[in-house]
Amino acid sequence: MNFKKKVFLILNLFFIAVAMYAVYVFFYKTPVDLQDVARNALLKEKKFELKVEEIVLKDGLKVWIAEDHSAPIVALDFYFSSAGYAFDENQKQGLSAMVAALLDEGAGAYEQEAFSNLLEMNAIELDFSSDDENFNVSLTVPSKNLDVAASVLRAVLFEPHFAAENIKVVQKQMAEAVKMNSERPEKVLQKHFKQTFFGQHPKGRDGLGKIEDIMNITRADLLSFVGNHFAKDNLIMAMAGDISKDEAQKFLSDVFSNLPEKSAGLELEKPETFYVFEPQHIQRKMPQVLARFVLKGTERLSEDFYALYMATEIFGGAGLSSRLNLTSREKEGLTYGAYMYLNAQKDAPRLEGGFATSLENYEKMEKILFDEFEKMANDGVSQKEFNAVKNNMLASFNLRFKSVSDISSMLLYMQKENLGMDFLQKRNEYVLNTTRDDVNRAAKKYFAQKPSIITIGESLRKE
Amino acid sequence: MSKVFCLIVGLSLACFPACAKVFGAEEFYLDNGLRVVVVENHRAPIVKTMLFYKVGAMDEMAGKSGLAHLLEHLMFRGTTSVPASQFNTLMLENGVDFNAFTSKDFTAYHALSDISRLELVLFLEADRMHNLQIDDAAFSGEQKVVYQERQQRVENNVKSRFAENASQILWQNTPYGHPVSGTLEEINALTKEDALSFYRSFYAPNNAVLAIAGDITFDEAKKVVQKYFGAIKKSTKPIVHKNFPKIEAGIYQISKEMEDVQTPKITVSYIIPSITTDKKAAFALSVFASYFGSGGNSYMKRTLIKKHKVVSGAASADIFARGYGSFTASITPNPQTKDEDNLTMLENSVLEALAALDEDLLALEKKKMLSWLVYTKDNPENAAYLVGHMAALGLNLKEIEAYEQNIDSVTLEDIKKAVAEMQKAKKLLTVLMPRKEAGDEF
Repeated sequence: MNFKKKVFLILNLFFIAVAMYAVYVFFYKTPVDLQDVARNALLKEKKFELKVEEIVLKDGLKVWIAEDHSAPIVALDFYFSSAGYAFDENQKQGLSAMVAALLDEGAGAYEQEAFSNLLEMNAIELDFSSDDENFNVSLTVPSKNLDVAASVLRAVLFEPHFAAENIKVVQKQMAEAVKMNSERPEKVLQKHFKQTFFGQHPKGRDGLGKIEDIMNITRADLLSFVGNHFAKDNLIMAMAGDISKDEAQKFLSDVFSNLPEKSAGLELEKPETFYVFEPQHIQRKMPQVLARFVLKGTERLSEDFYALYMATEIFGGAGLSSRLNLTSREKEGLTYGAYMYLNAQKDAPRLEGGFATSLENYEKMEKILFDEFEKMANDGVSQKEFNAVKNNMLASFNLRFKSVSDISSMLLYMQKENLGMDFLQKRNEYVLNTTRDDVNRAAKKYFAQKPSIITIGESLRKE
Repeated sequence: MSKVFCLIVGLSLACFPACAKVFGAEEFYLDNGLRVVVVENHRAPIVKTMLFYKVGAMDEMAGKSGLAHLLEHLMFRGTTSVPASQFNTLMLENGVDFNAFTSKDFTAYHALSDISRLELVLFLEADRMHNLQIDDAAFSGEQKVVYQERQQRVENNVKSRFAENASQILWQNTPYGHPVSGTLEEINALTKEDALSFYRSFYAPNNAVLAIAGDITFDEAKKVVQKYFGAIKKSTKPIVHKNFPKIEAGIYQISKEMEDVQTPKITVSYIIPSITTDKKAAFALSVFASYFGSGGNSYMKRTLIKKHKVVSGAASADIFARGYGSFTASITPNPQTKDEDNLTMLENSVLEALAALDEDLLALEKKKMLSWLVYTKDNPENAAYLVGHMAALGLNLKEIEAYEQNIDSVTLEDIKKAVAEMQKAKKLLTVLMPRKEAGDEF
């Protein structure tokens, strides 16, 4: 037996042991006959595989596609990269968001009213949005209406109207949205947090833009945005649902083949990120204090990713069983919920969390938070916690295939994050190959940092 | 816990156009009275379950606001057979995505799981239908949590506070007149005994509807539901639901200037029939509301926004209710116009829209509302929510599947009659403005 085989055997034995222990823990803990529930279950696990394929159009454009004919619906998701709000010119903050708001307000042969009737009568859902990096488009359409969808998309990409009258309406609505956000403490905190974390870098902007810039954006700006960014070299696409590969090829060629080859190819400096800062407080009259905190995380393809993801789920995952929720919510009733998640954003990976609590609870809440960080860094996670999170990730795997638009946006995400076309086959291996030791190493490495905190509410500390 | 509770109105408006015969729902009853509706969807091996109890804030006794919601929280804190927070741990370990919400009408518990975990979900759901145990520490803990939840969802935000206030005035003296989350004083005064007696009165198989949508056949659903819920006893005491009083007509108005307000908001609301009080009128108003104020080419968009330079506006009719429904239209006014003029314009626009409605526009609107039905085949979560909600309102299977005909058969005459009645019913006008010194324009 060579060394490799030995390691393999030992690893296998180890996994079997872990799995058996998981089963043991699962059944031993509960006094009721949950064993019987599992043993006598009529409904067993079913094998489910979704084939992800790549099709290449004549002009070289590549698209990932998952055929699924269980419902007569098709979803297409795509984005133009380097076209998000961080790329808006400095005096034109809000431009990409305004394009997103105006694209379905008339294009090609359709005035705004006709355009909107066409979408609604054919049940075509068409959404545009810009995030910090990209300009995103998401389409869902009954398969029988694919032809209409193709002509709608062509109109939008090649002949948007940006009518003067509609520009005025949208300018006022965006300004209204900016003001409305300042009514909501969680939005004010979020805006302040982004500015603090990214400093002067445009990724720290409010995606909606600045009111004075919004009011000055012209039709020429909107048209030049389209000219600069809607091109083949920055287009990433994914499709899913009731469509064959041949049909998809035809549909996509019809829509995209006339795009220009090259986009403006804008580049951004790598952001300088601020993980460590003194506690900041925004004074505001309100019953609770809202807090956001941040510390360094890791990127999507780093070797720490799964380990840190699992540690973070145990610490502050969405469920009621996370450590933060057990200590602050279930045990003490201090908050409706506290959370932390891994935001693996490129060049700015971070652990980000928050909570809301009454002013009089704040100090206690903050102490729990710091104590839990210390405990995690010093002691790591228990075998029981590790098993629970691992089993959760395995057992919930199929939930991601709920709708065709969930599937197509997942395929888009896989491309964006370079996860590989075989990611869906490999994902559970990634989880199974992460050990408790890995998680504990990640806990030691990341949770020893002190989180930086921003709060909003009444004054926290007595003068 | 009840992340979805304030979404329920929005969801029903957003999704109800999407329900009709296309569901292909089937149903059965257990001997103990549990009603089960099943929608098959075989895309992936997953299942959504939603258990609706026909009890919500409207069933609370005077002075006990927030009780239905607090009980919803306590349902996660242990039973005699699955004690403490083991429910949450088991759901976590089995990858189940679960939550619950409380509305004025219902308390609903829902879970999305892999098919191989469905029986665990049903076991746990059945267990807490009859074995709930409330210990003192859990009770006082959750009492504090719902207090924090109320502050976070309602009181931190000026527009939510105002909306709650307006809703109380619209529904005063009816079972819808108090907030679902309860008032702070009343939450603090609730006792464990209150919660237990509410639980015993309303949590029973014959007061519940279970919706199951996903990769399961009707026969399999029958077998597994019988297996876990079959042994639960029907409640021996009759379950008493409140009657909705007749609502006196009248015009009410609230106008406020508040410090934290940045964008003004003007609304007009009417109490209208719901599908449980007058189906024909309710569907007529739902078509009218859609024509008037939803979608990219509504009357409000064409006339108020484009012609009268209102900043934004929308309208909706909430007709899926155990009591009456409501019709609400709201705008962010043009800052150059006086508040009173805006209010008058909004009120008048309802009648102007009605006058402008003709057979062609009506046919177009109905076609738009029905085109979305195809999406019920896509996501099992939508199917479970829609079918479950309608079943919980007491609609039989035929009525649920007749959604398409109910919309399609609305005539211009039906709408004229229903809007005329609406104009005579109780009406509330609200004006919320920023404090004047913050008078910058946009």
